Amino acid sequence: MSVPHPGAGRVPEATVPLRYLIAAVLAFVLAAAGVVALAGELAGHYYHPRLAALTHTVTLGWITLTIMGASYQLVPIVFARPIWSERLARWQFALLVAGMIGLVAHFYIAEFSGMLWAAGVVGAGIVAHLVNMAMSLRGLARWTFTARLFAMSLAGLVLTLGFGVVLAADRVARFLPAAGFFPTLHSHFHLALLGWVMPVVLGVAARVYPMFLLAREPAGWPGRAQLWGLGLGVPLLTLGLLASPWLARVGALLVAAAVLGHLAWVAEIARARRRPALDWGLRFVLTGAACLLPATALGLGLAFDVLGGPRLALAYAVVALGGWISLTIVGMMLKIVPFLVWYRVYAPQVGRAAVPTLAQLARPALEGLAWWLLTGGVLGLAAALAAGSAAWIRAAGAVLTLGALAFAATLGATLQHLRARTPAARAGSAVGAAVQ
Amino acid sequence: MISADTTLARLLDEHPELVEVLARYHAHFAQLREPNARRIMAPRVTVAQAAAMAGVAVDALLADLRRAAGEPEGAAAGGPSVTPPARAPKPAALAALPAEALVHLDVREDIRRGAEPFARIMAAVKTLDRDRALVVRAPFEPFPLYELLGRRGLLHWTECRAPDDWSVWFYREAGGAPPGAAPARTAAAAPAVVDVRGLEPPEPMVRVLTALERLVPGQRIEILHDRRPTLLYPILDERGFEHATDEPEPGVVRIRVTRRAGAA
Repeated sequence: MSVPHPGAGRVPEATVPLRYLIAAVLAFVLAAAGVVALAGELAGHYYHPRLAALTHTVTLGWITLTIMGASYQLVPIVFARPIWSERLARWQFALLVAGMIGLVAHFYIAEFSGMLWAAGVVGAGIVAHLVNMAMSLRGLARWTFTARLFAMSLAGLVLTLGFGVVLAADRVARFLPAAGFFPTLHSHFHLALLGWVMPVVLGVAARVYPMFLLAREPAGWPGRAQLWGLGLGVPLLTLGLLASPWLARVGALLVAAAVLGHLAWVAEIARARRRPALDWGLRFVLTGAACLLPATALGLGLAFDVLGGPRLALAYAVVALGGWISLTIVGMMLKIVPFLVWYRVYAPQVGRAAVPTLAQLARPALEGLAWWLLTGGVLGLAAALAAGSAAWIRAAGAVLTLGALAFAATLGATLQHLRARTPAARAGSAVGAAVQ
Repeated sequence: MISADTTLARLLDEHPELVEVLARYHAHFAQLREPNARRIMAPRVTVAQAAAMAGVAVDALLADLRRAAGEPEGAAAGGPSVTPPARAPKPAALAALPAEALVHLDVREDIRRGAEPFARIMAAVKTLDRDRALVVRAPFEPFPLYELLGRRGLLHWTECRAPDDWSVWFYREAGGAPPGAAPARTAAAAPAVVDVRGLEPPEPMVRVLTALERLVPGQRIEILHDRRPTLLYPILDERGFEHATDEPEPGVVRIRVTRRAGAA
């Protein structure tokens, strides 16, 4: 029997999101290993070309590729809209991967004219994504909570790209005033974190977490807090970082309100769930949400000058990028990738032959190992960075790398099912063959 | 919440540790620790059927499972229970068969030894032609076989000799399909409404497609869903089903599905 080609219908071929997700996992492993290799640099100031290479491996390679790949899977499901162009999604992937490799490599060797060219290629990939998403969502009938936050995140991506290009061009032409570079850099980072990543994660979580946990979709004031908190908070924070600390503080408080709203919803979904057992994917997701508390506390502390210095700024970035976003993404991937594989390989045979359940595609022991290593590694790394100890940073990086490898191995085992044409072939047993 | 109509597949997906509880009730359930046996048996047996196979009250098994899963035990099953089949008369097609046309397979000893008799049963099925019947003798009612062999066009008639001695006759109707042909579909087997609300993906898709495979051409079922099943539509199209979706009330998506005449 042939595999259905959803691309001809309403959802893209499973290989479209999968290629993004696989590339993202490779970037994650590379970034974790990079922490070990760059422990000495990480013990110093965060503005260092090699640390910029590491940061972009995380933000572009790991986080952005994941979000973009997941978008191609989730947009048809969450918004009931077809992807405008699968071909563009494939070109976009090629542009992004080529651009990211160039960007990271040129950052690493501090060759900024090459870095600017690579940034242009990344920019072309991002524009392709924006066009594809805008055309896919064109004419959307209902602008739900998730749809609004999704649109907000695309606007955040535009601004992040704009600030990034300005910074890249400044490394070549040196046109920013000396006092303007770091505020622009901080704005670029926070636009990526709070303008691009946070809205999409909060928006998707509101639809997907109830699906995973078998709970009612949340409603009420936390939704308004998230929409208004991010809608007003991110622009104010960005302007404040550029011009006025007080404006930045108001923006930070509004973003904190959005975080509070999100956590209230997550807690409500977890409390009202009809699925009592939590698999490792869900534990990752909830652990990631819990990391928002220390990340927000550190962010507010830095905004209000209660805390300061490059070490705590690095710890803040690690708790946010490594704790909240990365653990959330790992959890989401442990749910999404097995489903994509199951859908591609086994869904065509449902009702006609015995097929494995989704849980049978998982490797719980390996997932559990990944949870312990990644959670411990992220928390250890944040503490080591705050202390400024290269030895401890290296040790935490090693734990993190092992965790990333365990996670990659888990997904690799799931992806092995793509080789199976039938359940019987996969089982490789007479009993399995008899079921057919 | 675990209920009487929860399949063992779903139960063990969510609570893998409960295989030990089931194994305490009947040694045959220890087979569920093996991936292959689990893949065959678990999707085809509900908790109520497992209770019947173990010869215990469904409420007792439910209470034990819920306790082990950390769920409130609840008062009663609330779902369908399995009762011994009514003493239906032996079908005419079977009564007409001479003794030499019966293939007897007693798997009681296999099951007592903890061995999985499935491969033996399937080997015996392969020897059947339309003039022969297979008589499987088991220590409990073998629910998974009904669907598995039904998909091969075999009808069944069950005889309960004692609580731990069951004979199930698998046979083909006169003029029925030859071995290996497409599964027999009967209108009576298809549910009118398949409610998959509140299920975790991909369970809704599994239930819907399993139900749809029993549809006869022209017959229609209604699916009640939490959301538009975007990933299901391409499979429905490929399998030759017509479908229309609406939202009769907020939060409820209804899909009406009809098998096209001549569809596979």
